Amino acid sequence: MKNRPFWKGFRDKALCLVLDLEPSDLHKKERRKKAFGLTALVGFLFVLPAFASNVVFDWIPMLDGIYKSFFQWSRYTEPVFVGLENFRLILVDPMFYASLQNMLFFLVANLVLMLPTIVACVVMFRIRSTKAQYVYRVLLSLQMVIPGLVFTLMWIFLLGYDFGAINHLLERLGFERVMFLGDASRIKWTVLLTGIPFVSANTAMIYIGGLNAIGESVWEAAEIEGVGPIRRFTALEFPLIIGQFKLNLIGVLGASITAYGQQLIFYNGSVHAGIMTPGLLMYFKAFPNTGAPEYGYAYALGLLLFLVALSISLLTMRFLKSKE
Amino acid sequence: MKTLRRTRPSDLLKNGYMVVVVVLMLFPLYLMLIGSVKSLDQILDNFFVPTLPMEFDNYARAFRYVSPYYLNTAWYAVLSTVSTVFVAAIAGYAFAVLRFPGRRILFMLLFAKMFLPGIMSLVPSFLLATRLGILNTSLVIVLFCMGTSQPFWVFVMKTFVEQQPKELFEAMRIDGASELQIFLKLAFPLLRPMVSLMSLNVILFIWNDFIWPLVTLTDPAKRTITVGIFKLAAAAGIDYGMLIAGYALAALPLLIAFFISMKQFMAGLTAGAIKI
Repeated sequence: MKNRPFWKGFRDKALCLVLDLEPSDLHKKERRKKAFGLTALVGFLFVLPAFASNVVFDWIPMLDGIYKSFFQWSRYTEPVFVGLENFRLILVDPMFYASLQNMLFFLVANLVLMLPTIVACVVMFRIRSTKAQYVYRVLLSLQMVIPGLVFTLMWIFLLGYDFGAINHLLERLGFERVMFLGDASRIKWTVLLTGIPFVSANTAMIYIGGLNAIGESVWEAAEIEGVGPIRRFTALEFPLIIGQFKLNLIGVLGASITAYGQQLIFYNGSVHAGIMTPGLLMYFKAFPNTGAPEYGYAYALGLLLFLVALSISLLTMRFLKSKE
Repeated sequence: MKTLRRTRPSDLLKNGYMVVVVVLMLFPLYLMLIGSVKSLDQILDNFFVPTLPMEFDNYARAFRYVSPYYLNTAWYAVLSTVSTVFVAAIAGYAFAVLRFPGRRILFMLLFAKMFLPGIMSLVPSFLLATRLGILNTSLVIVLFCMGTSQPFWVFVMKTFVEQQPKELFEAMRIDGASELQIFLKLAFPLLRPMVSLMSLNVILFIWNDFIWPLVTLTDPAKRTITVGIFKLAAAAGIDYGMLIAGYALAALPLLIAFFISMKQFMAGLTAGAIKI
């Protein structure tokens, strides 16, 4: 094997990868023939529906999203190549900067609001009765079963200015009515408020899994040693969920940067600039309430959000790894 | 050890905290359930406590509006579940057990998609659906659900099959069974826990999904339940009883299913939570 040109090593590795063979089988003629046999064909056919549907309905829209960011077109016009024009339009659009501010607001708020879920999980975990723990978990899970939209629409109904029950109550108690939904400077706070008690059931399930990873004996030992509640959190509980915390952090960052679903539900004309996020701006450029869609703008903004979300999650991962 | 097991005042505090969290979280739900059987006067006067007489007619009016959306959503959910789950299971099996050229490359391509943000896909997906002429059909829900679910679920299925003893499949092969027979008679039944897990998650996804059906199902007759209740406020006008009953109807089927098969749901939701 000595004096073999180095590129043959690469070629062999690539062949193994492509033909799906072990390196030891690569030079056996029979094995190589078998790689294209009936079993191989069946295997290929088995993965084809999954792979093809993923390519057509997931990969292609994404690649199209990159490519056509450099074109402009609308519902009845053909795409025309415009270079970086869409990106220039975004960067000179005052609404884009307003949306960035709103995005930062939600980003910071969502980072701070990661805390209540952790507190709830630790408190729930410290309750010794497993029966009580189960009941709380079941009740929290209702949040995952009921459409989030139902909660949000119910809140919107409650917070209405004229007929909303909360304003009705405020008035009875001698306070002024509050315009929760129609005030551009307040709407962001209203959106946050409806997240009360800021405990995400989905995330809680993940943290509970982490906390349950070590045995009862450790907790009993900690108790005998007289470890206080704060020390118990910093020394035992948080280290247990640090991995989950990092994943959640990456998730929250990505979700906050690209968020627009909740904002869309709360959207109305009078709070336009107060609730607009870059994601929502993208949505309205493609699906405007009036006028023709500007697909080029929407694509380019989508690409920008994609790149920012991706690089932030990569950076966070890199940063968190080096910290270990 | 016995002394450690007694209840202490701090336990009361912890329970109190959790009760507050749960009550705050479920408060809108409580208001929805009591509000759905109130007349307009009762809603405007006394919203926060249950009142008599109960107006069950709210539900009748809401059901008339919501029932077509129930059927639509159920139909989309069934189609999506059957196709998505079967396709992911058979691919997961093949990736785990069979050897064929391109196997590792195809899997890497699928796997990579899991880590890419999805924000960019909405508008291109919509335009792709437009070009394919499948807007306002069940296909626009089913096909995109199928395509975008594969990365995560093929990975789950593959991992599960890999945990099974290989000899099982080998033995059947030696007995002369075809690969399809091995999958249908051995692998698919083995995958049953994963299949029910995935089915639950796909159903929840379809039932709760909002923005995709909002933009692709513009024909009122094709709407899903979420889009239906989003547009309900305009249809109900001042009929707030019907409005709230409509919201309740959107939540009830899954709520009932949840309480009937709590154990399976809890297992499924916990596993689904790993997805993030």
